[in-house]
Amino acid sequence: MGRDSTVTVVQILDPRVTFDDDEVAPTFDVGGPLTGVVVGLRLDHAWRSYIAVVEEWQRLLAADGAIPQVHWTGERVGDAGEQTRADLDEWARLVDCAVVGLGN
Amino acid sequence: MLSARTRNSFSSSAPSTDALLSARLDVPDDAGALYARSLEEGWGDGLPVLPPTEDAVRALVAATPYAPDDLICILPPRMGNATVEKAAVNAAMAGVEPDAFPLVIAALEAITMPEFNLSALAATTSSVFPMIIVNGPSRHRLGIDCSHGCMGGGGGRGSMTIGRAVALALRNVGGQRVGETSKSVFGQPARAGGLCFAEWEEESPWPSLAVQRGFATDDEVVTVHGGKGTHAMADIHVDDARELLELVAKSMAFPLGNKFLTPTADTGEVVLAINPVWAQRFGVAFPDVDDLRSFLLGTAWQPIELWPQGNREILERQGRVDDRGRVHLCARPEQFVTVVCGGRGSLHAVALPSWGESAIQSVAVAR
Repeated sequence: MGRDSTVTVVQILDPRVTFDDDEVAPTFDVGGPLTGVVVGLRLDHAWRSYIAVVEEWQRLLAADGAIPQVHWTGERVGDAGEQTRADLDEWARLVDCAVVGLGN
Repeated sequence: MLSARTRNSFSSSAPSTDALLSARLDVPDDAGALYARSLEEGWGDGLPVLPPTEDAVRALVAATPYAPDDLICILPPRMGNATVEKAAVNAAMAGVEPDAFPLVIAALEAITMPEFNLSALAATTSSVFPMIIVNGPSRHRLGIDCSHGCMGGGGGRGSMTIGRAVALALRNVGGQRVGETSKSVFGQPARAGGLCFAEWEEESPWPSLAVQRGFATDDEVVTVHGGKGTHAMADIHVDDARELLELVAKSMAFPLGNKFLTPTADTGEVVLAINPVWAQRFGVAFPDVDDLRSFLLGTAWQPIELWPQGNREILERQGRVDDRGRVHLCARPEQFVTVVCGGRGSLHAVALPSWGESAIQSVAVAR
């Protein structure tokens, strides 16, 4: 005869949270031509290859009539970090949209 | 967040609930099946997990002064809400004892302080990960390794579970996923099992790390450091303490360390774990730990000629080269953080190199 096939089940709590963008991750849409749009491009001294990417994007954006605004991120900690965050806030205020770069 | 909420958590303006709000999952009552499911669904870390049952989670929450829905912090990179309940679920999976759970909460608070820069740490290409150093009276009771084999292999339950709980929370609440939100090129063991150890305060000739950072001797304190790994050093030949410490300093100032990538020497700290025997030797030469740190500051440098021309130009442009052609690892003595720990076998030290753009944080444990 076969063994009892009943499997005991235990209930556990899900360790995960649900992220707002799990189901929807919209691509940003300027909603019109780029002419006159201020496009921010964030850079960091650690991202050497990305510097070349941003240089190319600057050229292409300008060719399409956009106004690229490159912002170099400073240090992250101490008084300099405070200044970096303030500068980023100000930069974000001045641009219409931005590519904020890598997560490094 | 939590400290503000805690003070009000029993007031009418901040009602809390005892309900556990996490979704329920039915899993077979079988260790292997639970392990397999954690891997299939991505909420495991690759190691076997314990079942986070409601009873287990409630036992953890009950060991804190908080309600399950109290918010500890928001965890990057995906900015998930780390409630006491979610932290407890992940801690239960890691095997954290209720008595140790308040240290997990303190660690989560510490890593989300702005100066720790967790958003960057959680997403970077680097191997950096929060490393946890514990001071205070609960170290031995909780099994947080401070002597032989600390940082891996000591096998204390506190060491092996507290750091892992934080890592699981980063995965499941912060959404840190290698290759997706985390671009780490190489990992390190701390990213799976965590890295949590204690200072062997009784063996130190100096005030404990926590006391040096402004806490009282009997405070239970969790300190977090964004460390890139464990950098082991050894010597059996040097008799003079100053000569030995200079070699230690030179070893910490290895030329491809992140501290030579940052625009200035002023950010980030290097943790130096000193075995009790060396600590006694250094303590004779430097009765005041501040003097030891100053000595490290003065000797942890490399000559600019060590680097190729391209690197030299960058270091010079950044003002990293002094008038004697030296590139110093750090700019301030307090960036050298000493912790006495490890076995009495002497001859070894460990540095926990800094990622650079991250500042060590300490939080007192709340019970």
